[in-house]
Amino acid sequence: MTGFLNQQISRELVSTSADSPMMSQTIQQIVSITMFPSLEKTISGESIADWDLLHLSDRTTNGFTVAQVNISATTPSALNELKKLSGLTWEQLAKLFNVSRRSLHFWASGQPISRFNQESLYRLLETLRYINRGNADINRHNLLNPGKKNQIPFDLLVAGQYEDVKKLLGRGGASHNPPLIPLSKEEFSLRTPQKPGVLGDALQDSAHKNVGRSRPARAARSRNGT
Amino acid sequence: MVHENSDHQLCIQTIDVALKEWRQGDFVLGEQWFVYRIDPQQPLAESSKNLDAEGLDLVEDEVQGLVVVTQTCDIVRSCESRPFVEMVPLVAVKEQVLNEIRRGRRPQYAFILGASAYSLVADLDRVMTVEKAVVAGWKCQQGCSSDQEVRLLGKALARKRVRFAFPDDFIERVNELQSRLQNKHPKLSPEGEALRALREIRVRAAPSWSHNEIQLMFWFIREEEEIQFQGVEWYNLLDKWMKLVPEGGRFQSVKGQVLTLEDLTAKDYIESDPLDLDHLSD
Repeated sequence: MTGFLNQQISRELVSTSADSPMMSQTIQQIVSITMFPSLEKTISGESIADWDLLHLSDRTTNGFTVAQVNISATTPSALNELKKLSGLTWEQLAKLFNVSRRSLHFWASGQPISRFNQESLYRLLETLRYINRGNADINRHNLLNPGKKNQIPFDLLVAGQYEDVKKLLGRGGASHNPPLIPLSKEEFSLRTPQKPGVLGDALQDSAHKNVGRSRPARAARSRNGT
Repeated sequence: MVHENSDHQLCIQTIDVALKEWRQGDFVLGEQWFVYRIDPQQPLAESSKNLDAEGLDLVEDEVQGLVVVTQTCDIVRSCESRPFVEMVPLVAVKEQVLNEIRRGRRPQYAFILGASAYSLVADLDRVMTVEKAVVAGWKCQQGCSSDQEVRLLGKALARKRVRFAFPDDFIERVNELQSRLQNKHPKLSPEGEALRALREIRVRAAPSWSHNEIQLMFWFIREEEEIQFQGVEWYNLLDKWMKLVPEGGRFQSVKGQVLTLEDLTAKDYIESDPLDLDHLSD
């Protein structure tokens, strides 16, 4: 079976110095894939189709199109980006989806995610990218502390009020840095410390024996020295 | 010969025992003389210029004390194999200068807690070597009373000797940033407060400082708890600072980040160099 998929792909554009994505851009792309329903056995021995592998496209109430197919490459990276941007713990992130922490770990490892949760994921990510101050603990601080209106942005996110969070916290304005290019081999080796083996093997020398001439010297004395 | 040998060994032991009392940072007060070589035809220092050296090329300056900068492990090694220690002069300074030295604002000098009671600091600009037998005859005064102070002294010594030499074109490029940071640092403004909250500024140049096309990354490392200042957020300040370091010449990409130590990987730290702003003026 061949289907055409209106696929939402999250593209990583830049990395932080920690080599992880800080910003991504969503694009929509039509791809053609061939899919077969995989058959899995239930406890009773009956086979069921793994419907997550079937092509379905869905449009949300505001026109946000989310493919129902489990794009295992994007969900884990989106989830990791959300965690890095927000600075929140897995426990806190789970609250945003109203799921267990275990579910998050499943998604992070590429396990299927429902359509509803996938939409939440990308909305949350979009919100975090918007309010991003360029630093995880600053973002976390802003999410967990009541702002001027005594509203806790985190609670608003749990309630799905993403636009309210954006209004409350405003655009982060953090600049997006390009990936770091590696140091040259020579430069890197200059910064490599002595190996423990070399350090441990170091010899303690005595004072170097002077082989040249030595002579007594007389010095003029200055009592006005600094 | 045997008698001479045993006398010699007794001398060695006496000196070794005396030196066991000394630690890096310990000092001697009183009339002390600091010796250095000059060209009598072209004396340079104030003290050598004012002196009639009578053709001699060694000068001794009277100083108020001398402090040991040799590491303790080398001080306590037997004088038979390691007969020398390095000393720097103690010099008198005013209280304000003393406080500045204590805060690390004057890298030519090192703060020695024990000597500070006499308004004396170590002048790291000149070093003299003496044999341990000389030191053995001195009254040892404690310089550093804690491990922390010993480490701070070590840092001051390292700072004087081991600072990365940035290329000239980089120094020129960060000149405006340097001026701004130095001007704003003491101010009561949000920016001044933010600068005082910075732990360190580091810069990474890739592929290397000697390449023709370099990617620069500035890391302004803040303390964990410093989230913002009087309503001004770090990214606003960062924008201002980075505008002062334009791309150009060899530096094709100039970017910056404000982050904590936790955010910075060990690899990033090793691959970058501290931007010691006072050194850029040299």
